[in-house]
Amino acid sequence: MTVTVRFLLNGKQRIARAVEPTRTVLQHLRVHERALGTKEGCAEGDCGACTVALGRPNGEGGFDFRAVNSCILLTAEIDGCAITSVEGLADAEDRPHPAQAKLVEHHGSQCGYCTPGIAMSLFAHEREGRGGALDDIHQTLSGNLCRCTGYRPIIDAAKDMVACGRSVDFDARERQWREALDALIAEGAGDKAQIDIAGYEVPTELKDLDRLLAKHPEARLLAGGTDLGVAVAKRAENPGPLISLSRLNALKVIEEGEAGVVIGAGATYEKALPVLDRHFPAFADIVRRIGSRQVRNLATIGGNICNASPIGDSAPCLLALNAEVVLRSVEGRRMVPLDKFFIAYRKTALKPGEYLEAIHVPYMREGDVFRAYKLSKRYDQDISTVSAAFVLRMSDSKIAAARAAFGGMAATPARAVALEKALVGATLERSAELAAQLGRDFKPLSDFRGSATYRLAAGSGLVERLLAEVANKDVPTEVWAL
Amino acid sequence: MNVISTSSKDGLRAKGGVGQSIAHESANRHVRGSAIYVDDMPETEGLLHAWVILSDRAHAKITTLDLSAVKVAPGVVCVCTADDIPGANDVAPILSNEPLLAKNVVEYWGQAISIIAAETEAQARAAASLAVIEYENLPALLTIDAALEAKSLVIKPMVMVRGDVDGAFARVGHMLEGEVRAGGQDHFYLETHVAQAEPAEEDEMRVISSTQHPSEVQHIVCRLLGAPYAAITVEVRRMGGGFGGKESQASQIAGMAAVLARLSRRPVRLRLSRDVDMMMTGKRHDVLGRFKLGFDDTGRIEAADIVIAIRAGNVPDLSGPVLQRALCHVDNAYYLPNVRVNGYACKTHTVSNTAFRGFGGPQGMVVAEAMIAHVAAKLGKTLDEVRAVNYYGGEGRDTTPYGQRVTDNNMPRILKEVEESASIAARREANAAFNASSPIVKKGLALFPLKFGISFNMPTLNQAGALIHVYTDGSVHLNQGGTEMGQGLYLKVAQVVAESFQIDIEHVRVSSTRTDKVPNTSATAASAGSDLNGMAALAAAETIKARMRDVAAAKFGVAVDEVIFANGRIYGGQKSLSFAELAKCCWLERVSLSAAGFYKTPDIHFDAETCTGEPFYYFTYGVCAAEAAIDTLTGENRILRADIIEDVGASLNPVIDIGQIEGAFIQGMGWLTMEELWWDKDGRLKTHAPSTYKIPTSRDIPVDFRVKLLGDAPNAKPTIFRSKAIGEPPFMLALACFLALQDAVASVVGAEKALRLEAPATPEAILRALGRVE
Repeated sequence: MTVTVRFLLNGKQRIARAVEPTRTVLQHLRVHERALGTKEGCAEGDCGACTVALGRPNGEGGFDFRAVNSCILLTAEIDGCAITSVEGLADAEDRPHPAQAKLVEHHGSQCGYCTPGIAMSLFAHEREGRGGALDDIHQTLSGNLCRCTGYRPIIDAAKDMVACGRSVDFDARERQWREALDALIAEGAGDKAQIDIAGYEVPTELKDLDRLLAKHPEARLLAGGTDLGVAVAKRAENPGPLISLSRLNALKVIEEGEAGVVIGAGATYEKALPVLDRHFPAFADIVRRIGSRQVRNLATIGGNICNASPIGDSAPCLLALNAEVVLRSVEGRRMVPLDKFFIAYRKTALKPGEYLEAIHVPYMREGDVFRAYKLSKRYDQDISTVSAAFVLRMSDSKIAAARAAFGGMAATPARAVALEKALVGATLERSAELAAQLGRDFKPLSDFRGSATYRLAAGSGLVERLLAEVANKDVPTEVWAL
Repeated sequence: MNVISTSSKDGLRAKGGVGQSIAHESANRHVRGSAIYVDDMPETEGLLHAWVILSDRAHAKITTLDLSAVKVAPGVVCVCTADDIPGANDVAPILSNEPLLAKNVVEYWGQAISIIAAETEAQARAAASLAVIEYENLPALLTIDAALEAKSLVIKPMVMVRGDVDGAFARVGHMLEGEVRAGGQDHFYLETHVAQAEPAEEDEMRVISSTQHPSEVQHIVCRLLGAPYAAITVEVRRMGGGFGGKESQASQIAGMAAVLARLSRRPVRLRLSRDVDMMMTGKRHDVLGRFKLGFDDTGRIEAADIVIAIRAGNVPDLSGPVLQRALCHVDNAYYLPNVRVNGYACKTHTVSNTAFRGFGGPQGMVVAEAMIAHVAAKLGKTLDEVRAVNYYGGEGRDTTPYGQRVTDNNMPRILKEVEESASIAARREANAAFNASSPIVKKGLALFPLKFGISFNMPTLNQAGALIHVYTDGSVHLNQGGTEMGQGLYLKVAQVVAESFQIDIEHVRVSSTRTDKVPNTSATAASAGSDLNGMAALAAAETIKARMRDVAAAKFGVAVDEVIFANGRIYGGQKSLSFAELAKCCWLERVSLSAAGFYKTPDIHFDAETCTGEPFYYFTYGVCAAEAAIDTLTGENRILRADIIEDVGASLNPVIDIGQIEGAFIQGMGWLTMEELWWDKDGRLKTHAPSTYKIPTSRDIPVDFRVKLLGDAPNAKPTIFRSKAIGEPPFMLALACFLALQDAVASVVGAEKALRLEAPATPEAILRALGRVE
């Protein structure tokens, strides 16, 4: 079971044959290309030493370059794309890209092992046209661990790189590369016909996906792959037959409709962010803390929901926002409220042959208060110990209606029904007693992220934070606001 | 020997001499991905890849070890258990009986049982999953407390005593007892352990190892193979981070590769996956400190009876020296007139802990600062008030518990500079006002003064060698015994050589560290890399320079002392030659342009039995003032500002030193605030990858981060160009972050209750200290 993958590597045409579906881009680069600048630091998409830029053709004759973790990206998934690795940054005269030059100038490397990945993240920052805002730089670096420098010189290098403006040289190269890729595609890259053996299917129409799943309900859907890639790379699991959603553009659509936002199940977090910022800013702020930028460039909200992890960070927001999911199969569609979707630990309402097509998130009513919080040991790129989202409707400085949902408190993300009841009719007075209602809703577990007692205490603390925030905007309620 | 910087004839200095801020020698290669690490080496013909089979019990008898399916798995070439090791199954760095592969009994979850070599890494890994291992569980001791109760130790207890402790307790006005704990820490070097072994003729072998200690890898490989040291060459160009984790532990990985290479007669590469690395190899020792203190009304400590217990894990490894350094730093910057310290290295059924930046120093100082904090809380004083009456200095108050005089005390000066430049008094007032009006978020501020002893505690280890060749084109090949792990040692030593020859640093090429070029080296550790190897390289350079000077004097027709090396040229009378021309002249005159240099640190001695002597050539000092904020509802916390002034003597390279300070400080902050090693009740480490073990990211660094080198403070001792060591000391400056968090907690629950805060100060630990979590 192998596939043929056509792509560009640093501008050069590549046709990789006999690629096993589980071969990661990192393995391909290091073992098959002997392109050794890209490093493995963790094989789970957490350290960023393997960062490369994945370029998908854009409408302007170039690429939409995004930083991704090559250690958990399957090579089959880069068919029809341009990969830039650290070896591809220097120009024809071997002059370094500004990302590299500034890292040297600011002494941003010590042992150097994380450095290629950091150069690639900065490169993607530059290609995306991002600015020098500190928060944006932290987001860019959130998926790159450095154990030597303490980051200060890397942050300075990023600021300086941005200040130097866009690399005109690379703009020109992008156009050349695009021609090379287009020529390769004309020869058949990205064509389904290139997928030569069963076991890795790449449907381009939803109706094909319907039929495929009806025939192979055991097949696993591969969306962003940031979970499946970890299983393959870190745990050497064989995922069995895969259906890649990479070419199902219908699944990637995000619509701002009459009643709400419809998020296609295959839309990545980063693509969803502008829409979320417009309508559900607190959700967007949570999304910016999910994984790293590398992860968010691939991972999908749909994947996060279907994963049904009790600590998936999208779920509490979507539960509080009263989202519904569209489930689709060869037999048609059905709508399910999200709080009926999570059945048990990592079990969903999806029937065999059925998949998540889209998530409907209704707009909030004028005056509704929406807040979402995430607690973890580390601010960026950490998995929640507890997460929570609240939608409150106020009436005469009392709470008239409340939806509250939590992650990390039970076997599934879940609404806190007792708390919701207690909130209705309450004032915004800070009340530990009210917050303690959480204990009636949840009996959390203890693990390495936090003890059961911590989860309850901190979860209650989030209720208190909510009340304090809504009551008085002048008092700091988070250390991150300082 | 003239070790003072040669002032150049025309006022110009060679580029890249000492004191200049120049970039890391590999910086350009780092950013281009062209710096070669062990796993990036060419795959030589027939190279095999290895994998390790680990124990999944903390303490158990192996009742079945069936590897038959492993042996016949696709691609497998060699499978090795303890019985197959050609020499001794022992990787102990100091003592003995520390097995490479468990035999009959496993003593920690993650212990290596068997190693496999196959044609590909995937095949080796797949084969490993076919092993059938059955166990019979044995009782496991997993914590310091359990081990102390069972009197389970890896080495005999250590005692350090000075003065009349019991008599002093009888005289003092106040007494208290206290306890403090701090967790362990994974090194999380970005490059996991890796080695490649290439068999050569007969018993000869070349081992390329990501190691801080090539000589020890050489010795242990020889022990495992039963070969003489001269048969094995160990080489390392660079590591992707070390931090102590590749001091003694690297010999396990290199040893595994070497054994498999010997058995298969093929080259073998072993690169640990992140998970295997974190399960199998040692970490920083977690620590429990208990103390009884006697003190007066001012808070001056008159008597201290201290217990320091560290979790050693299943074997001693380096726990003895780590404990020794903890004992030698439990005074930190404070004079303890009557003191008894009992040290215990606890044997537990967890991975054997090892060297980690600071090497016991941080653990000792955690206890020192807890003592200060307890006294302050008891008397209702500030930390700084209690410190002020306890600092070294004044009549008869300048000798450490182990008997070394503190003669170079820069602490008063640094403290004053930090207090002024960081506006401590004004910010304390501002924070108090903030806290009064902020019910949820609270701020804290604390200083931490650091005194750290430089030199290996064991005097023998304080020696180094270097080998320099000058070629006839004027280029210089430099080889020295220290290893490069990112700290800039190669660069600093090259700067020393460039300074000595007065040539631009681009002419000095540093080669990989190899046991066949510089033998019998010490680990690159104890912050001593540039102190030791810089001096050895200087000695070698000066030897060659003296010969060149003779040739030049004859050529110029001047006296030897009239020959001057300056800015790439050699001058005498009215004549001059370029360095390359003089090198060529030397060759023509048949003068050797190659020399070895050697250095041993003078004036140090230490009796490990009695814990007395003068183990440190000098002390280094630093002060950090940190400001922190906590969320009293969730325990989330953040370091808002850190001001650091660190004493590095006359810096060999200020930007490298700043980088060491910033990096060490953030690593220390990670240790004390977020990095949590968490074992389940069966002794399984559940945080063995970055998804679960969180080290700081860019957002976690202080919002306002100010680092300065102490100005105009050349080392009082004649070290290499009067510089001071830098690798470890700033790690401990992060204690200021912990103390600032504790101060913030104290603003809510009071100073006494805030003492409950344990490191790492995770959100949960903060809520616990606030009394919001039982």
